Amino acid sequence: METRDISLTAIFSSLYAILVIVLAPISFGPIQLRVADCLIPLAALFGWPVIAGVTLECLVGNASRGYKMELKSKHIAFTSVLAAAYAVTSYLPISVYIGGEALITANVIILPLMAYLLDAKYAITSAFIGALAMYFTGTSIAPVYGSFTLLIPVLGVLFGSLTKKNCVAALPWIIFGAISYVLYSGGTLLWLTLYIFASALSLLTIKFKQLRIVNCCVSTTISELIAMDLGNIFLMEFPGFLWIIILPFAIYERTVAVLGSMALIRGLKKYAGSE
Amino acid sequence: MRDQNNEWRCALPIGIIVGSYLWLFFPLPDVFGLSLPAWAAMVIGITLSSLVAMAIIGYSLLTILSRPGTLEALKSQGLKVITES
Repeated sequence: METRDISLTAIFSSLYAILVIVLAPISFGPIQLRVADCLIPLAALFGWPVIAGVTLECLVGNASRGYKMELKSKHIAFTSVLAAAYAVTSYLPISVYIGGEALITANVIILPLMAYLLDAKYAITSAFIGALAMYFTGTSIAPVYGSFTLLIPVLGVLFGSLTKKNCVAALPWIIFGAISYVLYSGGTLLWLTLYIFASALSLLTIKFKQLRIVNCCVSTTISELIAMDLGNIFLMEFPGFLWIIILPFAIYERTVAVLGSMALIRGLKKYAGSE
Repeated sequence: MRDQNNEWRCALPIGIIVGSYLWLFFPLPDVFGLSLPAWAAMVIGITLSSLVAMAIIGYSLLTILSRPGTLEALKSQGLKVITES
């Protein structure tokens, strides 16, 4: 599969998920009209990327069953505020991006916050607006990934947010990322420790419900990392040796993202009086 | 131009597969007072809805994207598109 095929797969995956989740009231139930299915005929034009993207996201879309479209002022407020926070924090570097002229910025902390506080559809909207701002201002990772930047946070919050309803919702994406990494990156298998950690935590959360906040944060940040990894493999074409060099940086960034977002969530919960 | 009849051939398997299990999860609403078995009603319903999504919306989308100008634009971006000629 070529770079453009992977990008197309990601694009059709996102389109399908967005259509299913945003149009949830008519996409599920005994009488349904799944508008997202309109992407299926495009397989005649684009081929396998459509088939792979729609198949993957049909699983995710079905996992999100039960979300209802109910637009309230608090949703709009939270969506806007978090999108703005995401855009603003994209100016605050926390680490360097090795392999290109870009920076890892503090917005990695905001993403799990979006996933935890917002339903999937609002989280996706918020992340997309924040990513648009990042893309047009050329901050954070936008200089190296270009338009692919728009998908990275969206995929992160999508899978992170779904873990609130189903704690293993991010597992298919993690497995997909791990398989892609093993087959195409040529990098160290130590990189998979991040994926394995996130998968193990998801499975542990089935038994220990008190882990659901940390699972949401970890799933979000690792799902974002997987999207970046796919970009590094297929767009940036990272040489195999580079992965071992960037591994400590990745662990550091993801740790900052999880700890920072958990601190913010705890602070917000305390402020809101729910703890 | 792709044959719109192909959309029937896509909608029917979806209707049969999804309709064959969906009735286990949802109670069948009373529509037009029809007294069909639940599974049959679901198969018909899902087939029809898939047909609307694919044969009307999807086919329109495909037709728009299959225009020569759009195809050229997609090809100029380096995308591989499947054409009949």
